Amino acid sequence: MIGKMRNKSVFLFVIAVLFSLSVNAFAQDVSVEAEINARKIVLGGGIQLTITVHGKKNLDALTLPNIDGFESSYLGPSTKMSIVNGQYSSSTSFHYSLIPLRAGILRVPSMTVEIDGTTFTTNAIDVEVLEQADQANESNNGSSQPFTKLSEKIFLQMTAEKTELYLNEAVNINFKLYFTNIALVGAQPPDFEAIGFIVEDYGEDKQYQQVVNGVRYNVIEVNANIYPTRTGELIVGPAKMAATIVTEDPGQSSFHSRGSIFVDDFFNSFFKRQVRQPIEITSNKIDFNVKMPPEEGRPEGFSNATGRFAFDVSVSPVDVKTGDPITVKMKVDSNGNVKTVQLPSYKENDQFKVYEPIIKEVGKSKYLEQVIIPKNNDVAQVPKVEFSYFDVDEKQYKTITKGPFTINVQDSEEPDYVAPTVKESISLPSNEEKIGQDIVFIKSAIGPIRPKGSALYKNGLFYLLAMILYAGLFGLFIIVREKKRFKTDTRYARKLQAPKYAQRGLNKAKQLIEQNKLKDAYDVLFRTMQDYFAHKLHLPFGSITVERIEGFVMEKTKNKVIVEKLSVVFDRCDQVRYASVSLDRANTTQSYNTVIEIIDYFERENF
Amino acid sequence: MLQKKGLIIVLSLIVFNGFAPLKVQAEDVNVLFKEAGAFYSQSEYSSTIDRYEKIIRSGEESAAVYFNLANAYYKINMPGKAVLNYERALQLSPRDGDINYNYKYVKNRLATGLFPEESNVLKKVIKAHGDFYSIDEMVLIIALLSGLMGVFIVCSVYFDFGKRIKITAYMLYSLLFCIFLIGLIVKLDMVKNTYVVVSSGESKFEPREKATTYFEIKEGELLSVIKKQNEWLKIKRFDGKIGWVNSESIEKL
Repeated sequence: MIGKMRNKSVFLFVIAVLFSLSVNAFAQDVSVEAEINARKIVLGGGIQLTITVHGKKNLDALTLPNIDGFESSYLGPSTKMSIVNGQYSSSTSFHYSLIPLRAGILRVPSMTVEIDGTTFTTNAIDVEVLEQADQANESNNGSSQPFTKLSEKIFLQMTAEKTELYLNEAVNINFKLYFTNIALVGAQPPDFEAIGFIVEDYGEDKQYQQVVNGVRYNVIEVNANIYPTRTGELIVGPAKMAATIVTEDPGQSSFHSRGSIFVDDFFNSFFKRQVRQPIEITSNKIDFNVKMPPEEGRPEGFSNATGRFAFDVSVSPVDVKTGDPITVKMKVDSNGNVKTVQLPSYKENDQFKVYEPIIKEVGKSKYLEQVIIPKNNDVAQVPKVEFSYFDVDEKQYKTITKGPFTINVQDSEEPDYVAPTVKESISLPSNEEKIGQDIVFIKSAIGPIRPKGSALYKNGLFYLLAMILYAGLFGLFIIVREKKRFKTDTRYARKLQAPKYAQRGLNKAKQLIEQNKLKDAYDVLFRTMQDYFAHKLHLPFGSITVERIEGFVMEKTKNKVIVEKLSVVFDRCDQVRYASVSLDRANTTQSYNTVIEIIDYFERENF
Repeated sequence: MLQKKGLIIVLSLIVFNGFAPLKVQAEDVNVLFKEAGAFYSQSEYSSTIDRYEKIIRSGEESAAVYFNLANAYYKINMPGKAVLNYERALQLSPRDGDINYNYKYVKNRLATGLFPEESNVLKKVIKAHGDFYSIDEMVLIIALLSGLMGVFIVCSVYFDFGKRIKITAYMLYSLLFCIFLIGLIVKLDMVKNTYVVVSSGESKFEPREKATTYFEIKEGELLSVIKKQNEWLKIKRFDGKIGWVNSESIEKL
C-alpha cells in the first residue's frame, strides 16, 4: 500500500552558522547536500538522514524542522578532512534518525541552509515505507531495504557537451559509472560504437563520491574526445562497461555458529568465501547532428580544420648560401581535433627546391618540419604561409598568416644547383669528373625469359627433383650405414651371414641325399645347424649344443613345437653319426626338410 | 620393334607439338623487344611502352623488359610506373648494376621522404639480405644447402668424421638455413603486400569517395595493403598511417 504525501511544501529552516574557531586557512567552495542510507524501509524501522556541509568545519548543529510523516531525532555530528593530490578538503556531517509514522511514499523535503550569508538548498528525497505484511514478500533481513533492482545500485551515464557539431569538430564524451552498496572490481574502460567518428584514447579516470537523489554513489568518471568524419545524423553508443561484482558466498554462512569466536567481523571477513560475478553495464545512446562548415566565406586554403587553433611558424637559419638547407617549422595547437588538420607546406618553385615535410603529432599539437633550399642568391624571402580554420564558437572562418620571412642568400663557392645524383653502387673515379644526371640506356638483349609470375617455389617439377635428390641421399645414407656396420660390427655381420652359410650347407646335404650318401648328409646337416646357430648367436662353433639352442629359443619365443623339432633333428644326427642305425632316404629327406623349416622359422622371426 | 618405333613417333609429336607454340611466342617476344628498342632510340616512348606492355600481357617477363619499360615511363614523366617496373626488374635480377643505378636515380628525383631509411639495424640487415638475392635464388640456395647437408651426413658416416666437425657443420647449416629461410619469408611477404602509387591521390578515413582526406599519397611511393573492400584498398604508409585509397591509384608489385 503506497500513499502519497499530502504536504509538498518546502520547509525552510535557517541556520545561523558562526565560526567558533579561527578562520580556515584553506579557502574552499562551500556546498550542502542531504542523503539517506535507504530508499525503502518497513514501518517500525528507521533510516538515517545525513546533511553534509562541504568546505566548512566546526559548525553548530543544524536544527531539523518537523518533517511530515516522520519522527526525527538528532544523533550527532562528524567531521572529515582529507588531502587528495595536494588538495585539502573538509566537511561536517549532521546525522538524524527518521522513524516513519505511516506507510506509503513519504518525502524528506528540500531544505534551505544559510552559511556566511549564502543560501544553499538541498534536494528532496522520497522514501518508500512498507507495511509489515508487505515485508513478507520482500527478501529483507533488517528493517530497511536500500534497493530492489541492480540497475538502481549500478548504472552508466554517457553525456556529450554538445550534440550539434561541425565536421571534424572535437567533442568530449563523458562516462560516469555510478554504484552503491556493492563491491565492484576490475571496471574496464567503456566500449562503444561510434560509426562516422574517430575516437581518441581515454583520459585519466577519476573516482569520487556523489549524492544522486539523496543516495551517495561511488563514481568512476572517464572522458574521451571524438570527432565526426562525415556529416548527417550520427549515433554514438550505447556504451558498455565490463566489471565484476564481489559478493559473499551465502553457502558459507552456516560455518559461523552464533556465539562462536568466528561471529566476530574480523573472522567473518577472513573466512567467508567471495563470489565474483562479471557484469556488463549499458549506457544510454547519444544522437548527433553533424553538418559541414558553411560555404560562405570559406578561405581557399581551408582544409577542414574545425575548432580553435593557434598557429606558429619559424624559419632558420636566415643567413645561408645557395644550396644550403633552410628548415621551416610549423606548429598548430588546439584544444580539440588536430588529427585531421592538414598543415600548409611549400611546393617546389623557381626559387626553392623543396623536400617532403615531416609531420608528427604530440598530444594536442601537430608539427611540420620542411627543408627548403634556395636555388639562387636572388631569393630574399621565404613566402608567407596561411592557415585557415573554422572557429566553432564564433561560427566564422579565420585565417592566421605568418611571414614572409626575410632571408639572406649568398653565392655558394660550389657550382650552381644540380639535380640529385646517385652516389651508391657505382664506382666513380676520385677526380672531379661530373657524374651522371640521367638514367642508363635500355638493355639491348632480352635476357632470360620466363612465364610471368612463375617462380621456383611454385614449380612442381622443382619439388619432384628435390624429393628425388633427398630420397636418393637417404637411400645412400642407409646403404653406407649398413656397409659400415657390416665392417665394424662382427655380431651383426655374422648374423647377416648365417642364412648364407646355412643355404650352402643345405645345398651340399641335398646333393649327398641325391647321391644316397645318407650318413654324410646327416653329418653335413648337423654342421649346417651348428654353423647357422653359431653365426646367429655370435658364439664359437664348439659351444653350440642342443641345450643351448633350446634355452635360447625358449627365452625368445617359448615355441615348444620348434624346440621339439630341433631336438629330434639333433638326436637323429647324433644317432646316425655315433651309432649304427639303419638309414633310409625318406627319413633323411624328412630331417633335411625339418632343418629347412627350423632355419626358415628363425629367419622369419628375425632372431 | 614396330611398337618401339610407334612410341618414339608419339613421344616426338608430343614433345615438338608441346614446344612449338612456345617457340613461336618466344620469336614474337624477341621481335617486339627489338621493335621497342628501336622506338626508344627514336624517343617514341608511347610506342616503346606499347611493345613492352604487349610482351608482358603475352605472359612472358624478363628483367630487361621491366627495366626498359621503366626507363620509357620515366622518360614520359610517369615516375610511379617507372618505380613499379624497376622494382619488378629487381625482383628478377637484384644485383643488376643498371637497374640499381636507374632506380636509385629516379628515387632521388622523387620527393624526399618517400623512401625512408630503415633505422632498425636488424631490419636493415634483413632488407639488405633480401635485396641481394632473388626469390628463386633463395629457394635454390635453401634446397642446395639441404642437399649438401645430406651429402655431408652420408660422408660423415662413411669417413667417420669427428664430433667437432659434425657439430660445426650442423651449426653452420642451421645458421645458413635460418638466414635464407627468414630472408625468403620476409621477401615473399614484401612482394605479396607491396604496392606502388602510380598516380598521386588522397587517402581517406573511410572507403568512400566523399570521405575526409587523411593524407596524400605521392606517385612512386611504396605502400603495403592490409585489406581489400570492393574497389577500395586499406593501405599502410611507411610512417604507420593507415587509410583507404582507390585501387586505381596503386598497383601491385
